[in-house]
Amino acid sequence: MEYDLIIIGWGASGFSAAIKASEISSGEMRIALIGKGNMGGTCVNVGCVPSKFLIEKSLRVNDILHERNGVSRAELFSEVMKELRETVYKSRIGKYEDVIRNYKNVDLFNGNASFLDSKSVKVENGGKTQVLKGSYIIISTGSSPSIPQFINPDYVRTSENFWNTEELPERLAIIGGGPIGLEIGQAMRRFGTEVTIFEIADEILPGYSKEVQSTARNIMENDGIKILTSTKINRIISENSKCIFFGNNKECFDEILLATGRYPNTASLNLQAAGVITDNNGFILTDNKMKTSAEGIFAAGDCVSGKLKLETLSAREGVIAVENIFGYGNEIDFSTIPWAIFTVPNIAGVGIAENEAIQRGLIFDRRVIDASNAVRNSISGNMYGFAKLLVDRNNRKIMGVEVISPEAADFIVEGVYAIRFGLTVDDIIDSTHIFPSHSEIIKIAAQAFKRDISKMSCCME
Amino acid sequence: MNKKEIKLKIYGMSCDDCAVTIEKNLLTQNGIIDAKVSYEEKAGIATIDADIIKPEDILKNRIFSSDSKYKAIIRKE
Repeated sequence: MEYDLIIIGWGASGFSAAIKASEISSGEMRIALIGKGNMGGTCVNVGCVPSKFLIEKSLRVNDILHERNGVSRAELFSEVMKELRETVYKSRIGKYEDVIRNYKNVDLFNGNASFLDSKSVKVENGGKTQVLKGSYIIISTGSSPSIPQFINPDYVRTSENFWNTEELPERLAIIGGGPIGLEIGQAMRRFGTEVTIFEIADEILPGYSKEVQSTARNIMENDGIKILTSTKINRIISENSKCIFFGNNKECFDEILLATGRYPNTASLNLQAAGVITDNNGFILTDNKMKTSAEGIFAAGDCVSGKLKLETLSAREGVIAVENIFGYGNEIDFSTIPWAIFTVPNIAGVGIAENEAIQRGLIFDRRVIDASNAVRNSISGNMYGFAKLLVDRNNRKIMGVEVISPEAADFIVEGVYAIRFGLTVDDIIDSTHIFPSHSEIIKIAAQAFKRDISKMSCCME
Repeated sequence: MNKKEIKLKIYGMSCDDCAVTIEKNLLTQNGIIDAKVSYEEKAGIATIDADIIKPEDILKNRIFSSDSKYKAIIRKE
C-alpha cells in the first residue's frame, strides 16, 4: 500500500501531524496512521488528563467530605478514581477516536511498526503483516516510564498504571522528585495519604533553578510531604507491604509510585534500516525542522532527543514536521515553549533558564520578587512563590520568565508573548494588569528593574 | 545545465484549469525549465536546472504559498 505520508504513533504529535497534513492538503493527502494500544498516547490516557483530574478533585476533598457527611476519604478516593477512568475514556473517544474517523484520507493501522528501509514500514498485528510505502514518514512513538533493572515492576506503579489504583493508600512512596512525583504526591496528600518522596539528587526538581527547587520543597513540606533527597534506593521487596531499603534504613508503604524518568519507544522500530540516528539513550536526533538523519523521515514528540517532554511541544513538533514536508521551512522555537508543573501553587516558566544564560555567556539582568509583593497572594492565603525575569541588558527584551504562583500555568502565556514578540521590560510595565490578580506578579517583577518595589504602593503604574 | 526531473504530488486542484494555472506559475520561476501538471493524477513533473534551484525551492513558488489553495510535496521514491 502506498501513502504520501506514514505516521508511526497515534499520540499528540502523530494526531497533530495527521490533522495538519489533512488541512494543508484539503483532505487529499493519503495518510497511514499507525499505532498500538489506546489512541491518544500519554497525554490523554496516562498523563495530563488523569493527573489534572486527580489534582482538581483533590482540591475539593475537604469540601466534599463536609458536604457528604459520612463518606470516608477512602470511599471518596475510589469514586474519584472511577470517575477519572471514565473521563479518560470519554476524552479519548471524543478527542481522538471520533475525531480521526472524520478524516477519510487517513487510514488507521493497529500494530507494531518497524522499518524495512527508509520508505517502507512493516506493520504486524497477531499473525497479520502489512507493508506500507510512504513518500514521507513521521516517527512519533512517544516514551514510556523507565523502571530500573533492580526493581521488580510488580512491586511498583508508574504514571502508566497509577490510574488503576482503586484503594486509597495510607502510605505512598514516590521515587523521583520530578514534576510527576510532585503533582501526584501533593494530590494524594490532600486525600490524606502519608507521602514520602525519594530523590537521588541533592534537591527535588533536578535541573530546575535553585529558586524553584527550594520553594517547591517548602511547599511540599508545608503540605506534610516527607522529602528524602540524596537518597539512593538499594532494593524494594514486597512482604505484607512494599518496603524500600535505602542507606541503612527500611521503610514500608502500601503503594510505591516510580517516577524516575522516561525512555523513548524506539527500540523496536529497526531505525538502522532507515538510517535514522539516535542519541545514546535511543531518543531520535533531529534538527529544528524536525528532520532526522534520513531523507524524508521526520520525528516529533517525546521520542525526540531534547530537554522538554510536553504535550504541547509534541503537538507543535508534529505540525512543524508536516509544514516542512510541504516546504515551509519552519523551525521549532524552544525559547517560546512554556512549561508548567501543576502543583499548588503552580510552577511555570518560559524562555532561557538562568544557568543556561550564564553558560552561554549572555549579558542579562535579573530580578526575583517574592510572591508576597502581589497583594492577591495575601488575599488568597498563598504563602509561597516568586517571579523571576531575565532581561537582555542591551535592549531590555524579556529572555526568560519563571513563576511560582496560583494560576501560573494560565498566565505564563504572558511570558510566551513577551519573548515571541520581543517585548521589553517597559512593555510589560506599560501594560495594565488587573489588580488584584495573580498575573500582576509579572508586572511587579518588571517594575523591580526600575524602582524599589518595597517603596511602591499596591496599584502603582 | 544540470537538468533534473522532480515529481510532485499536488493537492487542491478541482479542474483541468487548475493544472494549467499551476503549470504557468511554475514556469515563471527561475530555474524551472519545464512543468507538466495533471489534474487527474493530482501530480506534476517539474524539470529544473539543479545548478540554479534546489528541488525544495519549487515548493516556495507563489502558487503553493500559504494563501493559495494549491499545495505540493516532492514525491520521494
